Amino acid sequence: MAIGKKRKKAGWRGNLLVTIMFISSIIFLPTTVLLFVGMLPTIVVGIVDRTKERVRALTIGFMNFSGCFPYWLDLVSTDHTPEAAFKIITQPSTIVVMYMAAAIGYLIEWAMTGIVSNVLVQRGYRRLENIDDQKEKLIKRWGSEVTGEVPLDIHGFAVEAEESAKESD
Amino acid sequence: MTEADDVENKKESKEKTPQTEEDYGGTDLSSATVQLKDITIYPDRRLTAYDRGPVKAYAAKSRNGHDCFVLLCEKEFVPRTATVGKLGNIINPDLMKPIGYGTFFWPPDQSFRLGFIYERNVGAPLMKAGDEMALGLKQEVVMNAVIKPLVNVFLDMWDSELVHGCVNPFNMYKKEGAKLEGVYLGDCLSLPFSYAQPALFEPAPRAMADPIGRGYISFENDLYAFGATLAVLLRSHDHMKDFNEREIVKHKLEFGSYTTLIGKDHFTGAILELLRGLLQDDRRQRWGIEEVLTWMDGRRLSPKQGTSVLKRAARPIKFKKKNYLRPDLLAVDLTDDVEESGRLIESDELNQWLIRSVDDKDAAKALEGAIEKANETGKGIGYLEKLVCCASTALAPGLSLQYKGHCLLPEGVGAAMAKAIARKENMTPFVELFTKGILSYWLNINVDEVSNAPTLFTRFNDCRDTLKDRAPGRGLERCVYILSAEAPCMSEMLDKYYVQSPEDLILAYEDMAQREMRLPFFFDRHIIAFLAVRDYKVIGPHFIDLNSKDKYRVLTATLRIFSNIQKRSNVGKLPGLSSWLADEMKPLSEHFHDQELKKKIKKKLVKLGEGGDLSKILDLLDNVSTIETDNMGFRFAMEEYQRLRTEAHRLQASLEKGKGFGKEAGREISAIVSGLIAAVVILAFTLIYFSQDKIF
Repeated sequence: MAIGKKRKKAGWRGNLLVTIMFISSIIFLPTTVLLFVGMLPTIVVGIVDRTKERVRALTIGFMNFSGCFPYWLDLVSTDHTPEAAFKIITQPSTIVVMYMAAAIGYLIEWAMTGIVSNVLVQRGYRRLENIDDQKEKLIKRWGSEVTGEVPLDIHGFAVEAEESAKESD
Repeated sequence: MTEADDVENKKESKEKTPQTEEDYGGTDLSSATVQLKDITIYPDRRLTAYDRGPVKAYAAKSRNGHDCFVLLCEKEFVPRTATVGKLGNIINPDLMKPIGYGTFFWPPDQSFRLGFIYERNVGAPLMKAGDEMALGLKQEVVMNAVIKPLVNVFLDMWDSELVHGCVNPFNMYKKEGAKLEGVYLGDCLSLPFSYAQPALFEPAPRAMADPIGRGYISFENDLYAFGATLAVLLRSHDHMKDFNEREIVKHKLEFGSYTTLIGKDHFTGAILELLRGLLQDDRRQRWGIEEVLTWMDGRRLSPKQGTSVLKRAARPIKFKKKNYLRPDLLAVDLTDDVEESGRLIESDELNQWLIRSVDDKDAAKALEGAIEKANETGKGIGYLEKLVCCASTALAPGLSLQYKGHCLLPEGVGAAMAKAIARKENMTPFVELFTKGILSYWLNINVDEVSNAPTLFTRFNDCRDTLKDRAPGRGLERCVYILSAEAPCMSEMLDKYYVQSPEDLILAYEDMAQREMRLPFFFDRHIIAFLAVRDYKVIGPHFIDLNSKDKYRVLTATLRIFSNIQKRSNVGKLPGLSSWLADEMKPLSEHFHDQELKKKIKKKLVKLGEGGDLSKILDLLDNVSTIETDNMGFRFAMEEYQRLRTEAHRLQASLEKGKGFGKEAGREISAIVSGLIAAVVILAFTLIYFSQDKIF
């Protein structure tokens, strides 16, 4: 929803960009064809990705692009025509390389997320222990009044039980 | 003799008056002595001959071996300590001056007492209790042995602006030898003004007052007493022998002092002029020291004779089956029956008598004023007593005021209150004297007769104001110290001590601490009031704290007060009190937040308690920078604690979510890693491509 709202806010600029991209894709049609087919896994992930800022799509996209890059380089440096582009994408090895690269991206994402998450959970627990220690030290040095859970008088000292009883009376 | 003397004399009647060393009963002088500076006092050696009413005399010895005696003051009879200095400056061989005074521990009653030390170089007193008050001495003897030396004494006292207040034959001592060749005028310090003065030696208005309530006297009263003393020494008959004090007063009022004292005796020659001059009832016509000196020079003066100019009624008025021709005599008796007096005053009879028979419209007007005054506070309880008191003042201005069994002159109220408090008597009449405006009324009527009326007005107003407030430091206790500048602290807590100043107070506490007689608290209403009047700077800024329910504030204020007194008075180290205070102040060390600081302070407190310097304890517990640092540290610690708690809550909540925790960061890192690998791959391909021309 938030992303949708942002897109709506883009307005005429967004439209302009789409228009430019559309025109560019017509102008560079061989590249467009090659990348559209080669980057298909990234496009799919980009559509289904629900992570913040679509980080997963980015991770897969980087690797996917690295898989597409040698073919695209070959295309632009030899014969930048739709026929050449079709010829490249119709070779099964090309598709395998491109999509394997995307799969590696996905693997990287899965592994790194697991590792980092685990590390952070452990760190979180250690931090909790550390906080408890610090709290205990504060209580030891400044008394239970420091917790703010004991009723205090104007000087910041615990109101004695008798006094609080009198007050409640 | 005064009532007090009578009581004392009855007690001592069985004892033989000691005059020689043998009379002391051969007591072992070495046993249980008391030391006051370089003077040794013997509590087991009474010298009844030197007793002054309730003030008892004991033998003493100075360091150089001179025989002395000490007059042991009673707390309830406020002695004239403020006069000691001035009296000491007078150099006159015929005036007894103390060679020392001070407080000392008195073993017989295990308390501290105030005493005045005199050298025992005097003979027997001119008269003893029970003697007939008529010695019939020859004029020449009296002239040489009494008049000449005593006039010099009075002259010196006049120059020093001092009054004696107890000039009578009981307080005059023969110079050594059997013959009367000279006299010493005795002690005037150990009792309040005129307390031990028999009514015969006082002018009627003062004689009428209770001995304790006579108050400050003027120099002319000393001369009156001198005249009365001369009359007693010269006369051969005591025709007032069977008269009680009240009858003597009434006799003086009716027939005048001269007639009362001289009676049927006849004097001729120069002495007659002196007696008439000194015994004038009208104080404006009474001889002063200048007239006496003129008379001694041989010049003859002609004093007026007779009673005061009060009018006599043509027709008597009846009160309690007695006829009265004089309003002042009626005034004296009015308090005998308050209800009967009330009826008489409220009926028109008394007023008509004053107008028609006495022909004194001023007195009638004054009586109306008195009734009006009595009505000011309503006709509730005490109305009749107030009415009668005001009416008797209106009928006989100048006479002492009579209220609920007390007969007082306003200047004597302070001493009377001190005595009543010491004896735990009912203080309500004294309170009413202020709250019902009776004292101010008396003063208004007699404003021209009282020398220090403005001062008294101010003091009475202060007392009335302070009585409205029941807070410690105010109230009745404060009135005593306002009105009696020399009164010691009357607190029951200091029952065994004679505390005249803030310094005495801390020394008393030091003594208590040394004797392991610690009290549960340091201040009661009396002590606070005493300090407030005697030395406001010491206690004034701490009133609110002392009256607080917060024990920390009370303890801090206590420490500040004592430390201030110690610092100012240079009393030296007070290890007992400091140790006591250190123990009492332990709760104050709890008033720091930092537990480590608390431990340090507790340790230091124990050390400082042994040192005796109260200001160091104060510095430790009441150090502003330490308190501020502690408070600031505590505030920061609280904030830190709250921050940690919030962080822990947040972290806990995130961890409890389980799978999701850290994944976002993981994805971000994987994106970076993926990006880096992709960049390397791209770069590698590009390099390979351009170096080999073709890959595929």
